[in-house]
Amino acid sequence: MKLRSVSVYGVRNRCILKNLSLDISLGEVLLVVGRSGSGKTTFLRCLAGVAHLYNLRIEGSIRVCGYEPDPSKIARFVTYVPQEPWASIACPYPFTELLSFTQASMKDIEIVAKELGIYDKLFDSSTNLSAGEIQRICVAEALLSKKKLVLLDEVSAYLDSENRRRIAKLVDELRKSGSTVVVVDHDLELWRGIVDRVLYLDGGEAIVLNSVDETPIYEEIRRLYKFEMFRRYTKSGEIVLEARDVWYRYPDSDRFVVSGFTADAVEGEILWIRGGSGRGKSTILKLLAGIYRPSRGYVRRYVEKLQLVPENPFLYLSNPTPREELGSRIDLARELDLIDVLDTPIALLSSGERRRLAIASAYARASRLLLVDEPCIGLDPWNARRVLNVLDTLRSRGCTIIVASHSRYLELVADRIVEV
Amino acid sequence: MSILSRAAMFVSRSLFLYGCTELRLGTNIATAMHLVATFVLASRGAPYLALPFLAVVLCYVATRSYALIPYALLLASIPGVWFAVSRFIVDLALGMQCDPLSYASIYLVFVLGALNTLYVLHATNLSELCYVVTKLTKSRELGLAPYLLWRVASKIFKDVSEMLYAHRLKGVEVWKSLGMTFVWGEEVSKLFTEGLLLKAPLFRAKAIYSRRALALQSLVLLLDTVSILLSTR
Repeated sequence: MKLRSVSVYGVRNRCILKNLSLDISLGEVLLVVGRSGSGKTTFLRCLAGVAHLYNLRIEGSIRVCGYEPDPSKIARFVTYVPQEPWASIACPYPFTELLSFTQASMKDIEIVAKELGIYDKLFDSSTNLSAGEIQRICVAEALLSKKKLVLLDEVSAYLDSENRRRIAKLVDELRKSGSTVVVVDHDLELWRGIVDRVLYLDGGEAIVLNSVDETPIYEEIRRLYKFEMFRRYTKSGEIVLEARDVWYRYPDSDRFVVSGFTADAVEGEILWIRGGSGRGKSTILKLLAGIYRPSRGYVRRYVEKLQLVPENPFLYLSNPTPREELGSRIDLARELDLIDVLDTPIALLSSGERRRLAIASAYARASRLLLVDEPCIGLDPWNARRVLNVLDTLRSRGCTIIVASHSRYLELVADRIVEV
Repeated sequence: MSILSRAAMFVSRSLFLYGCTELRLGTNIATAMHLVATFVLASRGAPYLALPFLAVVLCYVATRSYALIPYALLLASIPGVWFAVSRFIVDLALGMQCDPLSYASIYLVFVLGALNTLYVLHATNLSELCYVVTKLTKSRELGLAPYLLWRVASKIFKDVSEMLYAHRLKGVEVWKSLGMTFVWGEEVSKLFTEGLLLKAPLFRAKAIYSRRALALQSLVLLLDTVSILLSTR
């Protein structure tokens, strides 16, 4: 893969990448890091030949396996897993996806699925899989299709630590089998010792580094964990939500995805529901919000003003631009670094920007109970810190926040943890 | 939970509740033949639909898809109630004598007819459909369309249900929420285009069958034939 003097321009001719030149050889693993909105996803889109879908203008020369990045020419060499991994699953069932887009036999598929812990999901509906399971299906496909170049955007975002390690190990295997892998991710520690080089993007400029330790992000993460940033409060307030021995199974399943969940949430605390991917964290939030009814047990809410920010923040937003979504609370846009995108249509916001906007919007509604699914997914440490600050401020104002997440960042603010 | 959100979730579960059960691994030819038989029998009266209905229920149970039955029954009741009540209102308006038995018969015909039609949706073998479309059009991209249609429809129904509920908690007006569902639909289409642009040309359609599903379909067709023979007597 060769890039020569590549510059990429987005809407209103905004320069996203400036004069990037880079060679990536077969069997190399390149990690791409940078702040949210620094152009990491744009970089992958250019390599995958999908830049035109986002009206990106490319100057300079890009060669992928000797060809221009035209999908019809590079499709047989390249696997691309986008930031929203569900969008690369075309079939309603995972096993048909793997059979239809790889040369693998059912036996091979089963072996890889077992290795990735998704064997019992092969015949489920793709739509009902958790984000982490979808991500693992995508990686299984990348492994089975044995392409020369594998492009993975935010590959570990939705995964718990065990599955992150599994994915990192498989990327290492891909490299050993001769594939080139380009990974966009924020989890630097995970890729230590696996990646050959690091591409750090900042303000359109690109710097190639030899180790994850050299990136400013690494330092920021260390700083984030080193200090006790957030005040914690002694909780003695009234109970705002009560869940007792809650069990739930989806109508199509004999297996309970939630079994015996019990928790109380008191006024002005952050309660963290922690667990691996596919452990029913999102389902618990939906049960607490009242979207689903428990098969057994009960949930009682003692407040009326309640907000739910789903895992996909787009589903929370109800206005065409951040300015309209936040109304008079432009100060929140400043606090969450959204001031430059106030008039950008939400469809054009990055996934991190949408997530911050949804949390800011929920904040602006001054609810007494806020349920947030994965607030820190896909955020760089700077933006994760901003989101945590907002959650902390909400808590100090008496709002109860229940967060479902596997992100370690929550350790910094959570008052209590319920393990699932 | 709002009525709209509940309706979206209900339709989603009525159509897309299960993953790939054996119910979906028969042949579409048998399913289409059953649909034709259903229409013929429905035109001859509700009692003739009883045997095919039992066979269909047996298929749901044998393939462990029984949770679909209550959803399908409820959905099928909508046209049943609609037509029975319409007939009742027409009779009242024309000053004719009301006949509860005929209303019940209308209800049953439409419920059983709709139920058998829903069975067709639940039993469509998508892998076979993709294979046939690929062969007919000689295009891999078009061959992928049945899979993709099913995948996108189930994804949108699920997300819309969640969106409507989150918006209701937020106090958003229904018209505005419905507007956002269209924006989300557009976003989904764009993201699928991005995710599949490199993959679609490599799609290889494979028809997948199960012997057990084919045997169950044969039973359904046998009972259809018996019912048609009985109805011609």
